[in-house]
Amino acid sequence: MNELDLIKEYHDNLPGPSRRASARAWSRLAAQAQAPEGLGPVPARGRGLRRLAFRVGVVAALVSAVSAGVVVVGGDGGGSPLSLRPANAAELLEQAAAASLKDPRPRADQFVYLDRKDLQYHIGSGPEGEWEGAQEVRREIWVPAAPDGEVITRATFGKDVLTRGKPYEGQAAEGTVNYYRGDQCLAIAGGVLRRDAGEFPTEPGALLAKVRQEAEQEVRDPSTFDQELAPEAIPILVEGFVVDKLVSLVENPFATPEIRATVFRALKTMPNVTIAPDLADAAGRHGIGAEISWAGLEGRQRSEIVFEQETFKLFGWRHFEELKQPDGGVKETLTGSTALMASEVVDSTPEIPADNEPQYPC
Amino acid sequence: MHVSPPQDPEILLLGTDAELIGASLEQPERFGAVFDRHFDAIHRYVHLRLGESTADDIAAETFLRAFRARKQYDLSKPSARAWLYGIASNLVADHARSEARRYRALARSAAPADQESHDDRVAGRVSAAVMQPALAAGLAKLSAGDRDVLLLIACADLSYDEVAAALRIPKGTVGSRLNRARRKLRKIIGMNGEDL
Repeated sequence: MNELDLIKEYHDNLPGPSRRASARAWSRLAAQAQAPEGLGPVPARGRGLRRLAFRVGVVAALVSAVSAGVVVVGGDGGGSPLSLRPANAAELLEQAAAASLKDPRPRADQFVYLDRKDLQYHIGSGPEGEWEGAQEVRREIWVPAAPDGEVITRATFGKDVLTRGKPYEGQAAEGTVNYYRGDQCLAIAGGVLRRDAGEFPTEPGALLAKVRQEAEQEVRDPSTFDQELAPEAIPILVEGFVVDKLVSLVENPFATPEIRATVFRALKTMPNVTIAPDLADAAGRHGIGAEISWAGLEGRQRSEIVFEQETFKLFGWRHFEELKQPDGGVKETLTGSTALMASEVVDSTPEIPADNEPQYPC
Repeated sequence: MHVSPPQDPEILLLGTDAELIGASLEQPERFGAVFDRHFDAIHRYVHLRLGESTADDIAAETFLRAFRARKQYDLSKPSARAWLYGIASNLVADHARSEARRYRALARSAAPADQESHDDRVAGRVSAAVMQPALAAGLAKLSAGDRDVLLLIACADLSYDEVAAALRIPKGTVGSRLNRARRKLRKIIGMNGEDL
Protein backbone atom coordinates (compact mmCIF):
# COMPACT_ATOMS: atom_id res chain seq x y z
CA MET A 1 0.00 0.00 0.00
CA ASN A 2 1.54 3.34 -1.02
CA GLU A 3 0.89 6.85 0.27
CA LEU A 4 -1.94 7.47 -2.22
CA ASP A 5 -3.66 4.28 -1.09
CA LEU A 6 -3.29 5.30 2.55
CA ILE A 7 -4.92 8.65 1.88
CA LYS A 8 -7.69 7.05 -0.14
CA GLU A 9 -8.36 4.46 2.55
CA TYR A 10 -8.67 7.17 5.17
CA HIS A 11 -10.90 9.23 2.88
CA ASP A 12 -13.19 6.32 1.99
CA ASN A 13 -13.65 5.39 5.64
CA LEU A 14 -14.81 8.85 6.64
CA PRO A 15 -18.53 8.98 7.39
CA GLY A 16 -20.65 10.76 4.81
CA PRO A 17 -22.56 13.91 5.71
CA SER A 18 -25.20 13.60 8.39
CA ARG A 19 -28.77 13.78 7.23
CA ARG A 20 -29.11 17.11 8.96
CA ALA A 21 -26.11 18.54 7.09
CA SER A 22 -27.48 17.25 3.78
CA ALA A 23 -30.89 18.69 4.52
CA ARG A 24 -29.43 22.09 5.43
CA ALA A 25 -27.32 22.18 2.28
CA TRP A 26 -30.34 21.16 0.24
CA SER A 27 -32.44 23.89 1.84
CA ARG A 28 -29.83 26.53 1.04
CA LEU A 29 -29.66 25.36 -2.56
CA ALA A 30 -33.45 25.23 -2.81
CA ALA A 31 -33.69 28.78 -1.50
CA GLN A 32 -31.16 29.87 -4.12
CA ALA A 33 -33.04 28.02 -6.86
CA GLN A 34 -36.28 29.70 -5.87
CA ALA A 35 -34.73 33.16 -5.76
CA PRO A 36 -35.24 35.30 -8.88
CA GLU A 37 -32.26 35.31 -11.24
CA GLY A 38 -29.87 38.07 -10.33
CA LEU A 39 -30.92 38.17 -6.72
CA GLY A 40 -27.41 37.11 -5.79
CA PRO A 41 -26.06 34.82 -3.16
CA VAL A 42 -28.28 33.55 -0.40
CA PRO A 43 -26.54 34.29 2.90
CA ALA A 44 -25.18 31.39 4.86
CA ARG A 45 -27.01 30.04 7.88
CA GLY A 46 -27.63 32.61 10.58
CA ARG A 47 -26.56 35.61 8.52
CA GLY A 48 -28.53 38.24 6.69
CA LEU A 49 -32.07 39.36 6.43
CA ARG A 50 -32.86 37.77 3.09
CA ARG A 51 -32.72 34.28 4.52
CA LEU A 52 -34.85 35.34 7.45
CA ALA A 53 -37.39 36.74 5.04
CA PHE A 54 -37.27 33.47 3.13
CA ARG A 55 -37.89 31.47 6.29
CA VAL A 56 -40.84 33.67 7.21
CA GLY A 57 -42.20 32.99 3.76
CA VAL A 58 -41.89 29.26 4.29
CA VAL A 59 -43.60 29.44 7.65
CA ALA A 60 -46.41 31.51 6.16
CA ALA A 61 -46.81 28.96 3.39
CA LEU A 62 -46.92 26.15 5.89
CA VAL A 63 -49.49 27.91 8.06
CA SER A 64 -51.54 28.47 4.97
CA ALA A 65 -51.28 24.82 3.99
CA VAL A 66 -52.19 23.61 7.45
CA SER A 67 -55.19 25.89 7.74
CA ALA A 68 -56.34 24.71 4.34
CA GLY A 69 -56.10 21.12 5.58
CA VAL A 70 -55.40 18.49 3.00
CA VAL A 71 -54.62 19.74 -0.49
CA VAL A 72 -55.93 17.66 -3.37
CA VAL A 73 -53.61 16.96 -6.27
CA GLY A 74 -54.53 19.37 -8.97
CA GLY A 75 -53.54 17.14 -11.82
CA ASP A 76 -50.50 19.27 -12.47
CA GLY A 77 -48.36 16.18 -12.72
CA GLY A 78 -45.25 18.28 -12.36
CA GLY A 79 -42.43 17.83 -9.96
CA SER A 80 -39.90 20.28 -8.68
CA PRO A 81 -37.19 18.31 -6.90
CA LEU A 82 -35.64 21.44 -5.48
CA SER A 83 -38.72 23.11 -4.05
CA LEU A 84 -38.27 23.44 -0.31
CA ARG A 85 -41.82 22.53 0.59
CA PRO A 86 -43.80 20.54 -1.92
CA ALA A 87 -47.03 22.30 -2.75
CA ASN A 88 -48.96 19.19 -3.62
CA ALA A 89 -48.78 15.41 -3.52
CA ALA A 90 -47.21 15.18 -6.97
CA GLU A 91 -44.30 17.38 -5.89
CA LEU A 92 -43.93 15.49 -2.63
CA LEU A 93 -43.84 12.12 -4.38
CA GLU A 94 -41.28 13.43 -6.88
CA GLN A 95 -39.11 14.51 -3.94
CA ALA A 96 -39.55 11.06 -2.42
CA ALA A 97 -38.55 9.45 -5.73
CA ALA A 98 -35.36 11.53 -5.83
CA ALA A 99 -34.60 10.65 -2.19
CA SER A 100 -35.13 6.94 -2.76
CA LEU A 101 -32.48 6.95 -5.50
CA LYS A 102 -30.00 7.67 -2.70
CA ASP A 103 -30.93 4.51 -0.79
CA PRO A 104 -27.94 2.31 0.04
CA ARG A 105 -27.07 -0.35 -2.50
CA PRO A 106 -25.67 -3.56 -1.01
CA ARG A 107 -22.97 -5.66 -2.63
CA ALA A 108 -23.89 -9.22 -3.50
CA ASP A 109 -22.36 -10.48 -0.24
CA GLN A 110 -24.08 -7.90 1.98
CA PHE A 111 -27.47 -7.48 3.63
CA VAL A 112 -30.00 -4.71 3.97
CA TYR A 113 -30.83 -4.34 7.65
CA LEU A 114 -34.28 -2.99 8.42
CA ASP A 115 -35.45 -1.96 11.86
CA ARG A 116 -39.23 -1.61 11.78
CA LYS A 117 -41.73 -0.69 14.42
CA ASP A 118 -44.93 -2.37 13.32
CA LEU A 119 -48.40 -2.14 14.74
CA GLN A 120 -50.26 -5.30 13.94
CA TYR A 121 -54.02 -5.11 14.02
CA HIS A 122 -55.91 -8.27 14.95
CA ILE A 123 -59.51 -9.27 15.32
CA GLY A 124 -60.93 -12.70 16.17
CA SER A 125 -63.38 -14.74 18.21
CA GLY A 126 -63.14 -17.59 20.69
CA PRO A 127 -65.06 -19.20 23.53
CA GLU A 128 -64.95 -15.94 25.46
CA GLY A 129 -66.31 -13.90 22.60
CA GLU A 130 -64.78 -11.51 20.08
CA TRP A 131 -61.63 -9.49 20.58
CA GLU A 132 -60.07 -6.64 18.69
CA GLY A 133 -56.79 -4.93 19.26
CA ALA A 134 -53.32 -4.17 18.02
CA GLN A 135 -49.87 -5.31 19.10
CA GLU A 136 -46.59 -3.46 18.71
CA VAL A 137 -43.85 -5.62 17.20
CA ARG A 138 -40.30 -4.52 16.57
CA ARG A 139 -39.06 -6.43 13.55
CA GLU A 140 -35.42 -6.37 12.59
CA ILE A 141 -34.90 -7.98 9.22
CA TRP A 142 -31.64 -8.88 7.49
CA VAL A 143 -32.37 -9.17 3.79
CA PRO A 144 -29.59 -10.73 1.68
CA ALA A 145 -28.58 -9.09 -1.57
CA ALA A 146 -27.87 -12.56 -2.97
CA PRO A 147 -31.03 -13.86 -4.69
CA ASP A 148 -30.83 -17.23 -2.94
CA GLY A 149 -29.72 -15.84 0.43
CA GLU A 150 -31.61 -16.50 3.64
CA VAL A 151 -33.66 -13.82 5.35
CA ILE A 152 -33.26 -13.56 9.14
CA THR A 153 -35.89 -11.82 11.26
CA ARG A 154 -35.78 -10.93 14.95
CA ALA A 155 -39.20 -10.06 16.33
CA THR A 156 -39.53 -8.39 19.70
CA PHE A 157 -43.15 -8.37 20.79
CA GLY A 158 -44.43 -5.31 22.57
CA LYS A 159 -47.65 -4.09 24.10
CA ASP A 160 -50.86 -5.68 22.91
CA VAL A 161 -53.67 -3.23 23.44
CA LEU A 162 -57.13 -4.72 23.18
CA THR A 163 -59.81 -2.25 22.25
CA ARG A 164 -62.58 -4.83 22.63
CA GLY A 165 -62.98 -8.22 24.30
CA LYS A 166 -60.70 -10.17 26.61
CA PRO A 167 -57.11 -11.35 26.23
CA TYR A 168 -56.95 -14.40 24.02
CA GLU A 169 -54.93 -17.57 23.82
CA GLY A 170 -51.70 -17.43 21.92
CA GLN A 171 -50.93 -13.82 22.69
CA ALA A 172 -47.19 -13.17 22.68
CA ALA A 173 -46.17 -11.68 26.02
CA GLU A 174 -44.54 -8.27 25.97
CA GLY A 175 -40.77 -8.67 25.78
CA THR A 176 -40.83 -12.01 23.96
CA VAL A 177 -38.00 -12.26 21.41
CA ASN A 178 -38.13 -14.80 18.59
CA TYR A 179 -35.82 -15.35 15.64
CA TYR A 180 -37.10 -16.63 12.32
CA ARG A 181 -35.23 -18.04 9.34
CA GLY A 182 -36.40 -17.84 5.76
CA ASP A 183 -39.28 -16.03 4.16
CA GLN A 184 -41.90 -16.71 6.82
CA CYS A 185 -41.77 -13.13 8.09
CA LEU A 186 -42.07 -11.38 4.77
CA ALA A 187 -45.86 -11.10 5.00
CA ILE A 188 -46.07 -8.66 7.86
CA ALA A 189 -48.14 -5.80 9.16
CA GLY A 190 -50.57 -5.94 6.28
CA GLY A 191 -47.94 -5.89 3.53
CA VAL A 192 -45.75 -8.44 1.83
CA LEU A 193 -42.05 -7.88 1.24
CA ARG A 194 -42.09 -9.93 -1.92
CA ARG A 195 -38.85 -11.30 -3.25
CA ASP A 196 -39.69 -10.57 -6.87
CA ALA A 197 -39.95 -6.81 -6.23
CA GLY A 198 -36.72 -6.28 -8.11
CA GLU A 199 -38.39 -7.42 -11.33
CA PHE A 200 -40.94 -4.62 -11.54
CA PRO A 201 -40.76 -2.15 -14.47
CA THR A 202 -39.01 1.19 -14.03
CA GLU A 203 -41.62 3.07 -16.05
CA PRO A 204 -44.53 4.32 -13.91
CA GLY A 205 -47.32 3.38 -16.34
CA ALA A 206 -45.95 -0.11 -16.90
CA LEU A 207 -45.45 -0.66 -13.16
CA LEU A 208 -48.99 0.47 -12.38
CA ALA A 209 -50.39 -1.79 -15.12
CA LYS A 210 -48.54 -4.79 -13.69
CA VAL A 211 -49.75 -4.05 -10.15
CA ARG A 212 -53.33 -3.60 -11.34
CA GLN A 213 -53.23 -6.85 -13.33
CA GLU A 214 -51.99 -8.75 -10.28
CA ALA A 215 -54.66 -7.15 -8.08
CA GLU A 216 -57.40 -8.15 -10.53
CA GLN A 217 -56.13 -11.73 -10.62
CA GLU A 218 -55.92 -12.03 -6.85
CA VAL A 219 -59.35 -10.57 -6.19
CA ARG A 220 -60.94 -12.85 -8.79
CA ASP A 221 -59.08 -15.91 -7.50
CA PRO A 222 -61.69 -17.94 -5.53
CA SER A 223 -59.07 -18.95 -2.99
CA THR A 224 -58.39 -15.34 -1.93
CA PHE A 225 -61.72 -14.85 -0.13
CA ASP A 226 -63.80 -17.40 1.72
CA GLN A 227 -67.02 -16.07 0.25
CA GLU A 228 -68.35 -15.45 -3.23
CA LEU A 229 -67.98 -11.84 -4.15
CA ALA A 230 -70.75 -9.66 -5.46
CA PRO A 231 -69.76 -8.27 -8.88
CA GLU A 232 -69.89 -4.69 -7.61
CA ALA A 233 -67.44 -5.58 -4.82
CA ILE A 234 -64.70 -6.59 -7.23
CA PRO A 235 -63.56 -3.15 -8.48
CA ILE A 236 -63.67 -1.83 -4.91
CA LEU A 237 -61.43 -4.63 -3.68
CA VAL A 238 -59.10 -4.29 -6.66
CA GLU A 239 -58.57 -0.62 -5.86
CA GLY A 240 -57.60 -1.52 -2.28
CA PHE A 241 -55.25 -4.26 -3.45
CA VAL A 242 -53.55 -1.85 -5.84
CA VAL A 243 -52.85 0.66 -3.06
CA ASP A 244 -51.69 -2.07 -0.67
CA LYS A 245 -49.28 -3.41 -3.26
CA LEU A 246 -47.85 0.01 -4.08
CA VAL A 247 -47.38 0.94 -0.42
CA SER A 248 -45.76 -2.42 0.20
CA LEU A 249 -43.34 -1.86 -2.69
CA VAL A 250 -42.06 1.46 -1.35
CA GLU A 251 -40.85 -0.26 1.83
CA ASN A 252 -39.58 -3.37 0.07
CA PRO A 253 -35.83 -3.98 0.42
CA PHE A 254 -35.88 -6.39 -2.54
CA ALA A 255 -36.88 -3.54 -4.86
CA THR A 256 -34.05 -1.47 -6.32
CA PRO A 257 -33.90 2.27 -5.58
CA GLU A 258 -34.98 2.85 -9.20
CA ILE A 259 -38.07 0.70 -8.71
CA ARG A 260 -38.98 2.48 -5.48
CA ALA A 261 -38.62 5.80 -7.30
CA THR A 262 -40.90 4.46 -10.03
CA VAL A 263 -43.50 3.45 -7.44
CA PHE A 264 -43.59 7.00 -6.08
CA ARG A 265 -43.98 8.31 -9.63
CA ALA A 266 -46.79 5.79 -10.27
CA LEU A 267 -48.55 6.98 -7.12
CA LYS A 268 -48.43 10.53 -8.53
CA THR A 269 -50.72 9.44 -11.33
CA MET A 270 -53.41 7.98 -9.11
CA PRO A 271 -56.62 9.86 -8.32
CA ASN A 272 -57.42 10.79 -4.72
CA VAL A 273 -53.82 11.28 -3.70
CA THR A 274 -53.47 14.26 -1.41
CA ILE A 275 -50.72 15.96 0.53
CA ALA A 276 -50.94 16.18 4.32
CA PRO A 277 -48.53 18.79 5.71
CA ASP A 278 -48.17 17.19 9.13
CA LEU A 279 -48.53 13.49 9.81
CA ALA A 280 -47.05 11.28 12.51
CA ASP A 281 -45.77 7.79 11.84
CA ALA A 282 -46.16 4.77 14.10
CA ALA A 283 -43.20 5.94 16.20
CA GLY A 284 -44.71 9.40 16.72
CA ARG A 285 -42.24 11.13 14.39
CA HIS A 286 -43.83 14.04 12.59
CA GLY A 287 -43.33 14.36 8.88
CA ILE A 288 -45.03 15.29 5.66
CA GLY A 289 -47.31 12.78 4.02
CA ALA A 290 -49.15 11.61 0.96
CA GLU A 291 -52.58 10.18 1.60
CA ILE A 292 -54.44 7.83 -0.74
CA SER A 293 -58.09 7.16 -0.07
CA TRP A 294 -60.66 4.93 -1.70
CA ALA A 295 -64.03 3.33 -1.05
CA GLY A 296 -63.85 0.06 0.88
CA LEU A 297 -66.58 -2.53 1.35
CA GLU A 298 -67.56 -1.28 4.79
CA GLY A 299 -66.57 2.35 4.39
CA ARG A 300 -63.70 4.61 3.29
CA GLN A 301 -60.16 3.37 3.54
CA ARG A 302 -56.98 5.39 3.38
CA SER A 303 -53.26 4.84 3.52
CA GLU A 304 -50.81 7.48 4.65
CA ILE A 305 -47.18 7.41 3.53
CA VAL A 306 -45.08 9.58 5.83
CA PHE A 307 -41.76 11.19 4.90
CA GLU A 308 -39.10 13.07 6.83
CA GLN A 309 -39.81 16.79 6.36
CA GLU A 310 -36.48 17.87 4.89
CA THR A 311 -34.89 14.82 3.31
CA PHE A 312 -38.12 13.13 2.12
CA LYS A 313 -36.80 9.78 3.26
CA LEU A 314 -39.53 7.27 4.00
CA PHE A 315 -40.59 7.29 7.66
CA GLY A 316 -43.32 4.71 7.26
CA TRP A 317 -47.00 4.26 6.58
CA ARG A 318 -50.34 3.91 8.35
CA HIS A 319 -53.53 2.32 7.11
CA PHE A 320 -57.03 3.21 8.30
CA GLU A 321 -60.36 1.56 7.55
CA GLU A 322 -63.92 2.48 8.40
CA LEU A 323 -65.21 -0.71 10.02
CA LYS A 324 -68.72 -1.65 11.06
CA GLN A 325 -69.11 -1.83 14.82
CA PRO A 326 -71.28 -4.18 16.90
CA ASP A 327 -73.65 -1.31 17.61
CA GLY A 328 -74.23 -0.88 13.87
CA GLY A 329 -72.15 2.25 13.55
CA VAL A 330 -68.98 2.75 11.55
CA LYS A 331 -65.66 3.74 13.10
CA GLU A 332 -62.36 4.61 11.46
CA THR A 333 -59.78 2.19 12.81
CA LEU A 334 -56.02 2.10 12.48
CA THR A 335 -55.50 -1.37 11.00
CA GLY A 336 -51.79 -1.36 10.42
CA SER A 337 -48.73 0.83 10.52
CA THR A 338 -44.99 0.67 10.16
CA ALA A 339 -42.27 3.06 11.19
CA LEU A 340 -38.94 2.42 9.50
CA MET A 341 -36.47 3.25 12.25
CA ALA A 342 -33.36 2.26 10.30
CA SER A 343 -32.41 0.95 6.88
CA GLU A 344 -28.74 0.35 6.21
CA VAL A 345 -26.32 -2.00 4.52
CA VAL A 346 -24.49 -4.46 6.79
CA ASP A 347 -21.99 -7.25 6.26
CA SER A 348 -23.44 -9.99 8.44
CA THR A 349 -26.49 -11.37 10.22
CA PRO A 350 -26.80 -11.96 13.97
CA GLU A 351 -26.12 -15.24 15.71
CA ILE A 352 -29.36 -17.04 16.42
CA PRO A 353 -29.44 -18.39 20.01
CA ALA A 354 -29.29 -22.18 20.19
CA ASP A 355 -32.44 -22.33 22.32
CA ASN A 356 -34.49 -20.18 19.95
CA GLU A 357 -37.85 -21.81 19.30
CA PRO A 358 -40.36 -19.39 17.81
CA GLN A 359 -43.64 -19.80 19.64
CA TYR A 360 -45.61 -17.16 17.85
CA PRO A 361 -46.29 -16.36 14.24
CA CYS A 362 -43.96 -13.69 13.01
CA MET B 1 -11.27 11.79 -18.29
CA HIS B 2 -13.66 10.19 -15.85
CA VAL B 3 -17.08 9.65 -17.38
CA SER B 4 -19.78 7.74 -15.57
CA PRO B 5 -20.54 4.52 -17.40
CA PRO B 6 -23.48 4.84 -19.79
CA GLN B 7 -25.18 1.80 -18.29
CA ASP B 8 -25.49 3.54 -14.91
CA PRO B 9 -29.25 3.25 -14.26
CA GLU B 10 -29.42 6.60 -12.49
CA ILE B 11 -27.86 8.38 -15.46
CA LEU B 12 -30.20 6.55 -17.81
CA LEU B 13 -33.11 7.67 -15.67
CA LEU B 14 -32.12 11.29 -15.04
CA GLY B 15 -29.44 12.16 -17.61
CA THR B 16 -25.76 13.11 -17.43
CA ASP B 17 -24.57 16.00 -15.27
CA ALA B 18 -24.19 18.12 -18.40
CA GLU B 19 -27.77 17.34 -19.45
CA LEU B 20 -29.05 18.20 -16.00
CA ILE B 21 -27.08 21.43 -15.82
CA GLY B 22 -28.22 22.39 -19.30
CA ALA B 23 -31.83 21.70 -18.38
CA SER B 24 -31.44 23.62 -15.13
CA LEU B 25 -30.90 26.84 -17.08
CA GLU B 26 -34.62 26.75 -17.87
CA GLN B 27 -35.75 24.56 -14.98
CA PRO B 28 -33.56 25.35 -11.95
CA GLU B 29 -35.00 22.43 -9.99
CA ARG B 30 -33.22 19.97 -12.31
CA PHE B 31 -29.98 20.94 -10.59
CA GLY B 32 -31.23 18.98 -7.58
CA ALA B 33 -30.13 15.74 -9.19
CA VAL B 34 -26.56 17.06 -9.52
CA PHE B 35 -26.62 17.77 -5.80
CA ASP B 36 -27.98 14.29 -5.07
CA ARG B 37 -25.32 12.70 -7.19
CA HIS B 38 -22.24 14.46 -5.83
CA PHE B 39 -22.93 16.06 -2.46
CA ASP B 40 -21.74 13.11 -0.38
CA ALA B 41 -18.45 12.81 -2.29
CA ILE B 42 -17.70 16.53 -2.11
CA HIS B 43 -18.55 16.55 1.59
CA ARG B 44 -16.23 13.63 2.27
CA TYR B 45 -13.38 15.30 0.37
CA VAL B 46 -13.78 18.54 2.35
CA HIS B 47 -14.20 16.54 5.55
CA LEU B 48 -10.78 15.01 5.02
CA ARG B 49 -9.24 18.43 4.51
CA LEU B 50 -11.08 20.59 7.06
CA GLY B 51 -13.08 18.36 9.39
CA GLU B 52 -16.74 17.45 9.44
CA SER B 53 -18.37 20.61 10.77
CA THR B 54 -16.53 22.89 8.33
CA ALA B 55 -17.32 20.40 5.56
CA ASP B 56 -21.03 20.90 6.26
CA ASP B 57 -20.75 24.56 5.28
CA ILE B 58 -18.13 24.30 2.55
CA ALA B 59 -19.86 21.44 0.74
CA ALA B 60 -23.14 23.37 0.83
CA GLU B 61 -21.39 26.50 -0.43
CA THR B 62 -19.80 24.48 -3.25
CA PHE B 63 -23.21 23.63 -4.67
CA LEU B 64 -24.51 27.16 -4.21
CA ARG B 65 -21.56 28.51 -6.21
CA ALA B 66 -21.95 25.78 -8.80
CA PHE B 67 -25.62 26.60 -9.20
CA ARG B 68 -24.92 30.30 -9.63
CA ALA B 69 -22.14 29.58 -12.13
CA ARG B 70 -23.98 26.88 -14.09
CA LYS B 71 -24.29 29.10 -17.19
CA GLN B 72 -20.50 28.92 -17.53
CA TYR B 73 -20.39 25.12 -17.33
CA ASP B 74 -18.89 23.43 -20.41
CA LEU B 75 -21.79 21.27 -21.51
CA SER B 76 -19.49 19.10 -23.64
CA LYS B 77 -18.24 17.51 -20.40
CA PRO B 78 -20.76 14.84 -19.32
CA SER B 79 -19.48 14.60 -15.73
CA ALA B 80 -19.40 17.64 -13.44
CA ARG B 81 -17.10 15.99 -10.91
CA ALA B 82 -13.94 17.87 -11.84
CA TRP B 83 -15.82 21.17 -11.92
CA LEU B 84 -17.34 20.59 -8.48
CA TYR B 85 -14.05 19.42 -6.95
CA GLY B 86 -12.42 22.53 -8.38
CA ILE B 87 -14.97 24.80 -6.72
CA ALA B 88 -14.58 22.90 -3.45
CA SER B 89 -10.78 23.13 -3.66
CA ASN B 90 -10.98 26.89 -4.15
CA LEU B 91 -13.15 27.18 -1.06
CA VAL B 92 -10.78 24.95 0.91
CA ALA B 93 -7.92 27.25 -0.12
CA ASP B 94 -9.48 30.01 1.97
CA HIS B 95 -8.93 27.76 4.99
CA ALA B 96 -5.32 26.74 4.30
CA ARG B 97 -4.16 27.55 7.80
CA SER B 98 -7.02 25.60 9.36
CA GLU B 99 -6.22 22.68 7.12
CA ALA B 100 -2.57 22.54 8.18
CA ARG B 101 -3.65 22.89 11.81
CA ARG B 102 -6.02 19.94 11.37
CA TYR B 103 -3.28 17.69 9.98
CA ARG B 104 -0.97 18.65 12.84
CA ALA B 105 -3.73 17.72 15.28
CA LEU B 106 -4.24 14.41 13.49
CA ALA B 107 -0.52 13.78 13.64
CA ARG B 108 -0.61 14.06 17.41
CA SER B 109 -3.28 11.42 17.75
CA ALA B 110 -3.73 7.92 16.45
CA ALA B 111 -7.35 7.96 17.55
CA PRO B 112 -10.22 8.90 15.24
CA ALA B 113 -9.80 12.60 14.67
CA ASP B 114 -13.28 13.91 15.00
CA GLN B 115 -15.29 13.89 18.15
CA GLU B 116 -18.54 12.14 17.44
CA SER B 117 -21.27 14.70 17.22
CA HIS B 118 -24.60 14.31 18.92
CA ASP B 119 -26.15 13.59 15.53
CA ASP B 120 -23.64 10.84 14.89
CA ARG B 121 -24.41 9.19 18.19
CA VAL B 122 -28.13 9.36 17.55
CA ALA B 123 -27.74 7.89 14.11
CA GLY B 124 -25.34 5.23 15.38
CA ARG B 125 -22.75 6.21 12.80
CA VAL B 126 -19.22 5.41 13.78
CA SER B 127 -16.17 6.65 11.93
CA ALA B 128 -13.65 3.91 11.22
CA ALA B 129 -11.23 6.43 9.74
CA VAL B 130 -7.87 6.74 11.43
CA MET B 131 -5.10 8.66 9.71
CA GLN B 132 -1.54 7.53 10.34
CA PRO B 133 0.19 10.25 12.35
CA ALA B 134 3.16 10.31 9.98
CA LEU B 135 0.89 10.72 6.99
CA ALA B 136 -0.94 13.60 8.67
CA ALA B 137 2.37 15.24 9.57
CA GLY B 138 3.45 14.91 5.96
CA LEU B 139 0.27 16.48 4.62
CA ALA B 140 0.73 19.41 7.02
CA LYS B 141 4.13 20.13 5.49
CA LEU B 142 3.03 20.19 1.85
CA SER B 143 2.32 23.45 0.08
CA ALA B 144 -1.36 24.14 -0.52
CA GLY B 145 -0.93 23.73 -4.28
CA ASP B 146 0.83 20.38 -3.99
CA ARG B 147 -1.75 19.19 -1.49
CA ASP B 148 -4.61 20.11 -3.85
CA VAL B 149 -3.19 17.95 -6.60
CA LEU B 150 -2.27 15.05 -4.35
CA LEU B 151 -5.66 14.87 -2.67
CA LEU B 152 -7.67 15.25 -5.87
CA ILE B 153 -5.72 12.36 -7.40
CA ALA B 154 -5.89 10.20 -4.29
CA CYS B 155 -9.42 10.87 -3.07
CA ALA B 156 -11.44 11.94 -6.09
CA ASP B 157 -9.87 9.56 -8.61
CA LEU B 158 -9.56 12.46 -11.06
CA SER B 159 -7.27 12.12 -14.07
CA TYR B 160 -4.40 14.55 -14.71
CA ASP B 161 -6.55 16.30 -17.31
CA GLU B 162 -9.43 16.65 -14.87
CA VAL B 163 -7.19 17.94 -12.08
CA ALA B 164 -5.69 20.44 -14.50
CA ALA B 165 -9.18 21.64 -15.46
CA ALA B 166 -10.38 21.70 -11.86
CA LEU B 167 -7.45 23.77 -10.59
CA ARG B 168 -6.93 25.73 -13.82
CA ILE B 169 -3.28 24.78 -14.11
CA PRO B 170 -1.35 23.16 -16.96
CA LYS B 171 -1.36 19.37 -17.12
CA GLY B 172 2.44 19.33 -16.78
CA THR B 173 2.14 21.23 -13.51
CA VAL B 174 -0.19 18.56 -12.21
CA GLY B 175 2.47 15.93 -12.81
CA SER B 176 5.29 17.94 -11.26
CA ARG B 177 3.25 18.90 -8.19
CA LEU B 178 2.15 15.32 -7.69
CA ASN B 179 5.69 13.97 -7.95
CA ARG B 180 6.98 16.57 -5.52
CA ALA B 181 4.17 15.92 -3.05
CA ARG B 182 4.67 12.17 -3.17
CA ARG B 183 8.44 12.48 -2.74
CA LYS B 184 7.99 14.67 0.32
CA LEU B 185 5.40 12.41 1.82
CA ARG B 186 7.48 9.28 1.33
CA LYS B 187 10.41 10.94 2.94
CA ILE B 188 8.36 11.87 5.99
CA ILE B 189 6.56 8.55 6.21
CA GLY B 190 9.80 6.68 5.60
CA MET B 191 8.53 4.51 2.79
CA ASN B 192 11.48 4.99 0.44
CA GLY B 193 9.45 4.01 -2.54
CA GLU B 194 8.29 0.61 -1.39
CA ASP B 195 4.73 -0.23 -0.44
CA LEU B 196 3.73 -0.39 3.20
